Amino acid sequence: MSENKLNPDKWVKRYANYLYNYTIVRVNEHEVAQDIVSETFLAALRSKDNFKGNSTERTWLVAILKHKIIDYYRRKNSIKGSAEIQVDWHDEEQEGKWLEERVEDDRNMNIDDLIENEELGSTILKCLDTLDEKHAEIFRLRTIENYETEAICNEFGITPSNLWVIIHRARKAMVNCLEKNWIK
Amino acid sequence: MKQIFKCDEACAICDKAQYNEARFIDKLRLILHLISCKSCRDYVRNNRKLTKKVQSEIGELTPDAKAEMQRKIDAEINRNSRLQSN
Repeated sequence: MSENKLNPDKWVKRYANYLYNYTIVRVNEHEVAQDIVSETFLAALRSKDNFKGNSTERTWLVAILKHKIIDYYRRKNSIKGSAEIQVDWHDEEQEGKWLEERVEDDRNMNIDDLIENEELGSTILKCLDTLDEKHAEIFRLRTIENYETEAICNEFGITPSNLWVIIHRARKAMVNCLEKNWIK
Repeated sequence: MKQIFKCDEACAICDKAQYNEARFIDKLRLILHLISCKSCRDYVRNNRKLTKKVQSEIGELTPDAKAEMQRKIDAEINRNSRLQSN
């Protein structure tokens, strides 16, 4: 997981809830959010060659998701619902592709994530971004995606006691972060 | 009263309890520990708050919705591999 490779067959299990939560605070409609997440996965599959392993799989998916959310508002705000414009291609191969299918991952993406979550979105997701990457991932899988403890241990090659130590540290850091940001 | 067990262990049980993975006997031991330990009481209170916050803020997709997404992804993967083999 740490080598930043794509595993499309595991996307739904690993990221569906996270992406859904990212979306729901921005579009506020359950079904729309669900569709957007679904479309994001498909767009990601179509553009998987753009992924170079510079960011994590999740960060890259979020970048595509952002385009999908913008698309949704663009469609919604256009009178005939036809304001999707395929623009800004730079070569023939890319011509006509949707913008989100050309999202490449770069190192700045992680910073983008932080800024975005700062502006809008849930405090939980925001605090999650302040944790150590591995701790955040394990906390997210166990707490948001409801992975079984054993499944996470197998995936990361750690023992259950390692996992609980990581969860403990992550929870402590989350509590600290939430205390600072909690709207009272 | 002498501590029955250490704070580390108490916290670990409290963490597991947030995911319904603590054994009943351990939960009893935790309660006994909390009677005499202020710092663990604080930890438990915050930990429960965090669980509630996550539950209230984080929505979950239904298994059906996830299965539907998975089906679409699988179909797309199959389509791609067919295209490549042709």
